[in-house]
Formats: sequence, structure tokens, C-alpha cells
Amino acid sequence: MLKLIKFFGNNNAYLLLLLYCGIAWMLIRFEKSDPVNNLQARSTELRAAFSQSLSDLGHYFSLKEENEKLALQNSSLLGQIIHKNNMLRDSADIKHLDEFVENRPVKLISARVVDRRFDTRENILIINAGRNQGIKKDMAVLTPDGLVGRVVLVSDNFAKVMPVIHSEFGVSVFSDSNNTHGVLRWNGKEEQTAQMHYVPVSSPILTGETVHTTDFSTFAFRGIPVGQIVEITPDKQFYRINVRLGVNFSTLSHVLVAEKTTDPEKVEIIKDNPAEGENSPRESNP
Amino acid sequence: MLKNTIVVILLIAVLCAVQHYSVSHLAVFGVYPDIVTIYIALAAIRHGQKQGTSYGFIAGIATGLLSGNIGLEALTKTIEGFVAGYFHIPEDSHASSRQKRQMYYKGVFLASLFGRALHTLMANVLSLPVTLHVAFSIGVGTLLTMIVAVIAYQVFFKKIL
Repeated sequence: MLKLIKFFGNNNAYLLLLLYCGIAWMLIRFEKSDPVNNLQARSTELRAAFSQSLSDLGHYFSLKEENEKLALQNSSLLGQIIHKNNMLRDSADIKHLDEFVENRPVKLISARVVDRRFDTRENILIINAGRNQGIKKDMAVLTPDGLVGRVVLVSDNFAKVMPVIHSEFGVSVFSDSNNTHGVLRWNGKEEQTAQMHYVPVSSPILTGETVHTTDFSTFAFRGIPVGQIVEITPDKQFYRINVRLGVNFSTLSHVLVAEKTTDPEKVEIIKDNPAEGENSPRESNP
Repeated sequence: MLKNTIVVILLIAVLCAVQHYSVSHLAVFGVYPDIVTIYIALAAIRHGQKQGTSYGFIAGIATGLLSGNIGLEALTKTIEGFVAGYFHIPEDSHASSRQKRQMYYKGVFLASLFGRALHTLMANVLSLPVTLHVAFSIGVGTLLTMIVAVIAYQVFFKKIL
């Protein structure tokens, strides 16, 4: 091998360029194969470990501010819990609701953002929870403010998250007051604004409505808040809708990761009818 | 020769880490200068096209391991090293310092332009937001890299070129 490289090196820069470009092309071509994927997972692990050390150092100096933020969040959550508990007590269907909650628990795993990259090339987040903490590919990542993104790569102790503000991201959503469905995507422009697609102009959708994830989603469970509709412009067939995202990505530090527990019967019926819904708008599945 | 190669590779590794952990956080409208490109261009100008291409490939692998796009980064940086190699100044050259400076600027500019263009087009091949966005990314990226290249020349490279 060394002799071959030396031969190329001594003879022609073009041959050398061809050799390196060939290797690079193979790496691009087989990006999704196991050896390259493992290499990337290990490098992510190494990079995340280093980033975490740097981040830990930074966190030490901002502990006071973070504690204040957590205390504020705790008081807000406590208020919500008391309110929800009162509602449950007053409800005539309390027994039925209890059964529902017990039968469909949503397991949430908390994690900290240890590395982030927001630019025109690539938007990604790295969180400090991985396979060992129960994280799997295609889990939903969220905060109390709304949906953050989706897990796309998992190593032993870290995971890579594709955020909502990624040009390849897509999620099925519906508006809260009149159940209008659509697909949310980001057009790569404003960080806080995404677009809701495939909403027919006949829909009674209004500005100010909140949008949530639907049951159609392949990774998120129903009801995760995503944002608020801020602008509706009618086009030929569909509305052009701008949604202000609930999550502020510039200050994001802690997240929750949730697994969607899809009914196996539903998965089975989708597998049995692959042609169904092929022409309907779908989420992206990178 | 071997000692020089080891020094260059170590420097590339350090610069890749600095680029990833520091420089990329100083983005202007999401675009940032690339110090690894500047160093690959310098190495190609000093040591020749073959060495420049090899250093570019090594730098691409290192950058790719940090960013997660090994293949794309390796391809981009290899091309950068190869392009800058056209401006190689041999050690026994009688070129004046002005001519050397011009060769350095041309090498960095073209390497950065080719690298940015290739990277932006390949990375956004499926989701080009707008043509203007691509032009902006390539143009501003190259401009920022050139600004850093000029500063680096005045501070460090003037003595070694």
C-alpha cells in the first residue's frame, strides 16, 4: 500500500488527486454503511466528551443564573401540576383518565445540550444521553416550550439531534382550535419561524392558533406544542403559513427525550398497505 | 523531510480543533472564515502540489471526524490543496517578496473559492433554499477567509514565505 502511494506521489499530482478523490467519494457513497457510521458515532462520542468538558467549565460560571432559571421553571411546572390535579379531581371521568394514563405512559429522559452548531451549512445538537440512558434513534426531543427535534444518531453516552430548524426536518402538525392538519418544515431563513405546508385555502385556520404534533408523526407522540401561527397568506391551492416556534434555540440548554409508543396493530396495518397514502404529504425520514 | 511532514500534520490537527471549537462559533450571518484552508494553501504553496493535495486530504479527514461529514470534507480539502498547489513557490525561486505575497493571496483565494463552492453545492444538493443564499455563503465565506489570510500573512507568514 505504501509503495502504491509512493508510486502515485512520485509520478503525478493528478493521479494523487484521483486517488484521494476516489477515497473521499467512497466515503460519501457508503456514508450510511456500518463501518463509516460506527466511525462517525465514535468521533461524535469523542467530540462530545471534549465539548462536555468545555461546557462543564462554562456551566460552573453560570450556575447561579441556571439555578434561578430552574427555580422559575419549577414554580411554573408546580403551578401547572396543581391546576391539572384540580381538573382531574373535578372531572367525572377521572377513573377513565387514570386508566388511559396508566396504559400509555410517556417515558421522558432528561438530557443536557453539550454541543450545538447553527449555521447555513448544518444545524445539529449533541445531547449527553445515549444508548446507555435508553435513547434510541427517532425519539422525539422536546422542552416544556415545544418540540426541539428528532434523534438521528446514537452512541453509548451521546446522541445527535436534528432540530426543527434543519432544512431536511419535517413533522405532521395540527392547529388546536379547528384541527387543521399540515406538515411543518423550515425554509432556512429565520431561526424562530417555520412554515406549515399543505393546508388548503378552504381550511378555517386563523392567526394566533397553536400547532401541536399529530398522531400521524413517525417519531413524536400527539400533542407536543410546536409554535403559534403568526402569518397566513392564501396561494393558489394552499395557504402559506408562518409559525413562530415555541423553542428558543439560542438559549436551549436542557431537553427531554420521549419515545413514541405506537400501537403495534397500527404499524402492522401500515406495513400491510404500503401503497396507501403515497401521494399524501409525509414527514421527512432522513 | 519526515520531521517537516510530522510538524505540518500536527499543525493541521491543532488548526482543525481550533476551527471547530473556536472559529466556527464566530460566524457572521452563519458563515465563518476557514483557517484550515489558509494553512493547506500555505503548505501547498511552500511544499508543492502533491504535498498540498495530501495535506488537504489529511485535513479533510480530521475536519470530517469533527463535523460528521468525513467524505465531503475530505473531497473539499483535497481539491483546495490541489488548487493552491498551482501557486507553488520553489525554495530556490528568485521571486520578490511582492510576487510571493501575490502568489499566496491567489492560492488562498482560489482554494477557498473552489472549496466553498464544492462544499455548499454538495451539502445543499437536495435542499437549496435560494440561489442567492448559496452565492452569499460562497462569497462571504471566501471574503472572510481572505481577511484572515491577509492578517495571517502580515503577522506570521511574511517571515517564512
